Amino acid sequence: MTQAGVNEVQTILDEFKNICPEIIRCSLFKENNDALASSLETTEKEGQKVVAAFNSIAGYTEILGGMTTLTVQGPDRQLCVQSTNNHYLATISTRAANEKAVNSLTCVVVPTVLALMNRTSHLPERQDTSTVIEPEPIADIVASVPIEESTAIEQSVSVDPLEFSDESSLLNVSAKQFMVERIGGLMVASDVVRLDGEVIDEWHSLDDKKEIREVQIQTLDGKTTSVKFKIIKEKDGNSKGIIQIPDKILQALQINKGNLVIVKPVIE
Amino acid sequence: MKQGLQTEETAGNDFAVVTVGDENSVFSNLSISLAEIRKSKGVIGYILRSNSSALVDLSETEKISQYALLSWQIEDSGQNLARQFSLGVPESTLVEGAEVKVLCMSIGENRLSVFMEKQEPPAWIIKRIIT
Repeated sequence: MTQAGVNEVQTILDEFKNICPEIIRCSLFKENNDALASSLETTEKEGQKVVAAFNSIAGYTEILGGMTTLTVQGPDRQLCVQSTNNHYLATISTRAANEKAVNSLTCVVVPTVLALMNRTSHLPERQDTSTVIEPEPIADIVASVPIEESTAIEQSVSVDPLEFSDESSLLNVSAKQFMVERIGGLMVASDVVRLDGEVIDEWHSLDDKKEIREVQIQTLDGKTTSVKFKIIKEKDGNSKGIIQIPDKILQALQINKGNLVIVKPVIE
Repeated sequence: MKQGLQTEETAGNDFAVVTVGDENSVFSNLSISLAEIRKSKGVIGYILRSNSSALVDLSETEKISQYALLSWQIEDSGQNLARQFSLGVPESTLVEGAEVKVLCMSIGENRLSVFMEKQEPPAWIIKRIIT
């Protein structure tokens, strides 16, 4: 976990005492006994005790189907240790604490945050188009597919392919990810897609001297095609991150509504 | 072990009871309470032991030694943690597994472990034992 991640966990643990004043202390230990974050100062010895106690019991819990939580209740306060995402969370609270509130914080919030951080730390710095498999907030990405490959695939797509004779015709730096919406009707041209006007303006701002007449659409499995475009007229904000594509192009690219595609301008 | 202690084994259809002596009243009272608790559908067995006596009622007789080792380890680790974090004398220690959970308590010289299904709330068992 990065230092920034540790700081965020620390903030969350500190906040627990405000949310549930009965929580006296909450510490998160790594498997090597180091305290990752704690609402009170903690020592390595405490980490060792927690991890050792948990693991010594866990060694005998095959008959229980493994071990998830250890709770020790004293006369006035209780300690709860749970293993989550290769970490040990130790929470000391008074016996009067609202069990549901404590469990929500320790059994839901912390594991969720750790899982998210774990997932984030495994993501590459630059998101590769081939790894995007589910709709997520639209983010700028860098087109990384070699031109040769995309050109080869493009030839297999039967939608009015534009010939890319010059690699420089692609503004690689301005590729955007969009979610597909189907568009149809009598007044809809079958070879024209519609895009968010702000994106078009952004592309224009990159190089005022060059004109953008077409965009290249690339699917997650590498199929590409280049088509003319129009700006989505709706001003209600729903057009953000959306590309409206007619049936003919959808079929050619073998994609459907809700899929993600990479779109980049073709400049002339 | 004290002289004159008797060993009794009783095998039911789906459980076994092993007793070794029973010379203190708290132990006897606890055994009565645990026998009542054992009737609950979610409770799968218990181990009660004192310095001189032991009472075991578990549905899986072949796993008695594993349950006993686990109980001992929970008690030992629970006491260590209670000392480390100044919890005072631990009243109960609960270990939750994916399928089964164990409640361990110490009452005087008597140690008991109640094994129950994961869904079974332990609060009523604690209440039943200490009252």
